[in-house]
Amino acid sequence: MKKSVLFLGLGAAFFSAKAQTNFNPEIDVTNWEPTTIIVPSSPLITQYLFIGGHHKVQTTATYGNNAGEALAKQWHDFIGFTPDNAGSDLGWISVNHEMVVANDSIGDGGGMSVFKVRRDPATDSLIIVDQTLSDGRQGKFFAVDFANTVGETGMNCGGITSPDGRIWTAEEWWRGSNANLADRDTGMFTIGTGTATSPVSEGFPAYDGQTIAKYENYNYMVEIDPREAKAIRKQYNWGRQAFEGGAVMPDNKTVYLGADGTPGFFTKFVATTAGDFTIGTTSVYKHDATGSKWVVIDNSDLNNMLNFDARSVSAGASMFNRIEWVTEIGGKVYFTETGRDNPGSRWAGEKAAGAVFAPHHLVRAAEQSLEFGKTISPDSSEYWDYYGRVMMYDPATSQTSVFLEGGPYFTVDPSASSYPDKHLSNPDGLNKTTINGKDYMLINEDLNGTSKGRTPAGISNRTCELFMLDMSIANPTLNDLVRIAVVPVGAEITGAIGTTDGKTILFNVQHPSTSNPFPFNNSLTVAITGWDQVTIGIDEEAFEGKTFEMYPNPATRTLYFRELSDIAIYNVEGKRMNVYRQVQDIDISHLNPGVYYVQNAAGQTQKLLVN
Amino acid sequence: MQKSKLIFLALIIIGAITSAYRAKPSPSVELQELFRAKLSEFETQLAGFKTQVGQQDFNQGDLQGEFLQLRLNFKELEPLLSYLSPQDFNDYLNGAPLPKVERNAPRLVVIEPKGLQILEEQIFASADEFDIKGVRKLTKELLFQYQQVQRSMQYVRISDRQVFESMRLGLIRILSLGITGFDTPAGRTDMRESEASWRALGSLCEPYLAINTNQALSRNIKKLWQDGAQYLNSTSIFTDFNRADFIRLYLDPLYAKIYDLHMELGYEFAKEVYHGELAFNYEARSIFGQDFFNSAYFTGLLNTDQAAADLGKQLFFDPILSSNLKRSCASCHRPELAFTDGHSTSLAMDEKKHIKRNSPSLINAIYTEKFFYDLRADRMESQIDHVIFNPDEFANNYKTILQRLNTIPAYKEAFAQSFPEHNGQINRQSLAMALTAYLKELTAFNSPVDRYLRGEEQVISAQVKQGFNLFMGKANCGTCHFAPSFSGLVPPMFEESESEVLGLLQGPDQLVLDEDLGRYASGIPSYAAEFYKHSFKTVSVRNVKFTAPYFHHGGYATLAEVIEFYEQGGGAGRGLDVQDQTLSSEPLGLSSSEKEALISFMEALSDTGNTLSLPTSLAKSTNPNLNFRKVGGEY
Repeated sequence: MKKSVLFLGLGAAFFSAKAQTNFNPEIDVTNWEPTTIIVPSSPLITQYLFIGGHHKVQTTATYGNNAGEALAKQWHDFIGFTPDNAGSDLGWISVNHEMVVANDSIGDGGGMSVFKVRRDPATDSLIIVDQTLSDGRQGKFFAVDFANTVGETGMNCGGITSPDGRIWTAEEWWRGSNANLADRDTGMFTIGTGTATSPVSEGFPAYDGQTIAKYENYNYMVEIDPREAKAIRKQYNWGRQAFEGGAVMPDNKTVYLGADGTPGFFTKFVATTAGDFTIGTTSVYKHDATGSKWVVIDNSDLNNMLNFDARSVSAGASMFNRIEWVTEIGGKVYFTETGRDNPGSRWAGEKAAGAVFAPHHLVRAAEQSLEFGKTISPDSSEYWDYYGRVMMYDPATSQTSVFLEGGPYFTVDPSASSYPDKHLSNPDGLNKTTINGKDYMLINEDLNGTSKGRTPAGISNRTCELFMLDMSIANPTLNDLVRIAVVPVGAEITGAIGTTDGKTILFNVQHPSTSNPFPFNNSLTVAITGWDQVTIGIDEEAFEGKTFEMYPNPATRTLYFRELSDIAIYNVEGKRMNVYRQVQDIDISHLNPGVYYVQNAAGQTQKLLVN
Repeated sequence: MQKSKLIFLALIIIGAITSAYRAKPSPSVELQELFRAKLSEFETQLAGFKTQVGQQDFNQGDLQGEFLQLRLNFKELEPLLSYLSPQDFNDYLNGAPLPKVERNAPRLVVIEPKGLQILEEQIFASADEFDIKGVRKLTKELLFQYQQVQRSMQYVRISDRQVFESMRLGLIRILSLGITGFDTPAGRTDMRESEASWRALGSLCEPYLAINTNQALSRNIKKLWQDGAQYLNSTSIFTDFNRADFIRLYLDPLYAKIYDLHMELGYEFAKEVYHGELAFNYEARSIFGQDFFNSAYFTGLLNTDQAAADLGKQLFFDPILSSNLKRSCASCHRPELAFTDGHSTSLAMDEKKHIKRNSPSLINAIYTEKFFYDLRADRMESQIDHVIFNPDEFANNYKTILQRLNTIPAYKEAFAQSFPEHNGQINRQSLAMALTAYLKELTAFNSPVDRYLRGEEQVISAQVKQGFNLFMGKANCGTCHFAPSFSGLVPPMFEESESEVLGLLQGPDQLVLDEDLGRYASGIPSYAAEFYKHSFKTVSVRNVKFTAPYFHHGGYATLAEVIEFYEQGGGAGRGLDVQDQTLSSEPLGLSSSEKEALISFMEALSDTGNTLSLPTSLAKSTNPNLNFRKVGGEY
């Protein structure tokens, strides 16, 4: 008898330890006055600078139509920043449009828009400057002319901002034939002169006069001039690849490039003369090569460049699973490998033809061999890569390594206290910003799926996040990431870049849900200013006691708790508004100024005054 | 001083604790344990099945029997699994047996179907087409993917809110994907799976009934679960199942009562957790209710008022949007024809040509993911763009339109009042918002069928009822025209619009395939997959009484012709070579009285709401040249 009671008691204890808290739909807030926590108004200034489908861009004469203005394209992706070193303004902002669409005024395909900003001396906020370009266009926003210069563009995804502010855009979506180019002109294209009906003004010294199919004029890095809003050249000598990102090193000679594919190859170009990227050596990374890990692909033969992937396979190059953006921080090269759920069949052919798996994939495969109880190789159908990661390449050793693994992934149910508070899934955009002399990495998510814990299960907030990582942290983990922005429902966050003065972070909201209220139903370029004035994240010393404690970061609109707990927010009348399960910090950017009550799983309540 | 502060603090904490604690336990914890146990059980069963298909001396008939048992076991997992991991559920476990395009990939990659549905098609293939190697491969993949999903489920914490959402979504699933046969593509002929799903939902509900103090509600719910199970169990023949009665008497009432129970127990609701809008209103008490779909989700208009809708209505009938000032939206969308125009394809600007496709109804048109028959526009603004810029439609541009609108004081004032977020400006967005606000009013779910299924009307004609049962059963209509929208808006989340390849003929008397490439040729890069050739949006059959002629080319004049087309299994059923036809090519085997019943039902599915009134006049411009406009345009 007694034994069974004891047993029941234990059961109940176990039960309540794991139980979720049932927060009352309403609480009485009239008779008692709990501790008040004040959330000061955010010192950061948020501006929606450039709204797709809303702002008008100035266009050049295209397809026989006069120069004029047109509604900006959507699907903002990469952001380039070019400081105005010679003038008194802050600089030029270049924005990619990752789309393929016919457009009479801007040009078919995708493209870029550019505008110039200066700082309001009183508030530091950004002001868009009126400009007159040398081709006579006047206005605030300008469509970059690709159609008349280099022969159109498309699916402009990532890109490069060089140390001196030169800008390249990446043409990502792979074109395998002329069908479905969304181009009105699919005639043969001659480098330097264009097609029979659509001439171009710019060429490429080494390849001028060579004729290629129209679709072969896509999938390059393309340099543009943000000051004049026109394209300068397609970088045929870096190879034709499903480019996503790249970085020019401080020497202004070396360029590292990533291609979004499975396999994706890691490419390097070294210019003969600093700043002249038309002449130099192109090579592909092979981690297991004897001697130099970079195998030269002869760029004097345009065919090698047009068939870059095939040449890389022949060279036995290292294969990655969808390389996205590339950035340089402190002399090291970082790149995102966004992952692909079950890539096995995608690179099995290349493996058989001689290409090799990047070493970390072999390590992962070995781990998964234990998981599956049989030998797994990266080209096995079972091999999975759900979350992706941030990689690091060290030019000193010519080796790649995993810098920050996505996830987390568990093979067994973790205990409540180690339950993940932060998830990093399918990192995509990657950049650096320097604030008050300190380097931070900016990591943008772009989810390949919502399954496998990439987003909370069931009906939940499935948003992509922008994370910041303090690069002075040795061996960082996911818990070191600071979430600095959550984009509107349905959107991807992309393009994050810091202005060179460290005050502003720019990022794009791409393809948000069309049912969000304006302007959050359009792709947006957002500027958040004031980072030089705020604390990023939270000090460890912020919490003193052991009980229910919360601590706000007014800048990032985050409320931190000392302990992982279920949390409910009540409004000023004591009516329940929000419930969170198993959290240690919550985003409170949706709370308008006012009084709220915050209750934890133990039933303790504190008052929250949001300013 | 110090002391009194301490006491004060202590009081606060005591006060806080007493006010906060609830006595009610949380059944989700035990349900989660059960779910995980069931997941393991199913893994064993699936592994066993894999062993069986792997044997050399397999027998197709035995495998079929084993497979059916496997499906029944799977149904026990379905409510929580499909809710918690919908993407994996559709991609790998139990999605439609059709190819897809890989999500978020840098190039077009076609993914072949995986999971139980495609496996079922293969296991139930005729003996001469049976391919054991294919079955083995699919089974192996299924087991692997299942194990991956199972592992990810090991660290999902289920809340009580989520259990309630699973239950209600599970009811929608049974209604639209279960009893219609969507889920069982090999065309099996019993209701056992729906019964298994139903019982699984009932078990999720049980612990909540046990802790609920409102005894009457608990008894009521318990009885509905029991009676519904019995009803499903009492009919062994798929074609005989009386879906109308089942929905009306058990399924829809439970949908309401589970909500009441959720309220009663005080668990949080999705809106307290999720910052966005859902496609359906969780608060709606009937699946066929007028408030079931959430217009805010589909239109993005959260707070528009009557004035905005009135402004939209004026603009809809105002030819000021077209270059020649003679055509308005209403030129091709006439209120008396449920906002269609009665033509096969609409008349073009020049009054001679016709545009490419048939004018679709605008009643309930907002409840879609994508616009146009080829799904090329993902939002109302782009939909409007296409009409404005098309040289055969409005042949206009925004600059002209906005200039004209700004010469009309009444419009300027109305825009300023309705859209303060645009600072009084008339622009592309505010114009689209105004028109959308009007479209939001063109919604109607109050047909006799809706009222009957909601239990508000006690009778409906036997023919209409038979027609509904056929539509949702033997005639296979409801597997693409999903209830309750009766369109391709996919339940239970209603976030995606489907398109289908029907193998459409140029007309009922022409044994020649229609040449329109549809979705494939829409210019959207990710639609350039072969299986999207001749694929068209699945529109609603609500109000088809008014919307003849039918299909994207308007090639079929009557509903009888349309039904005959489906009866014969589309183009492929007529022996034509149709690539990737998604419509079954098997004849439906409908008798003439059954065909009549189907028509009766579809005609009864009519409600155009209060949408017939036209503006009496148009607002005057300060430019006299613009004041000759006629309400609705001239042609």
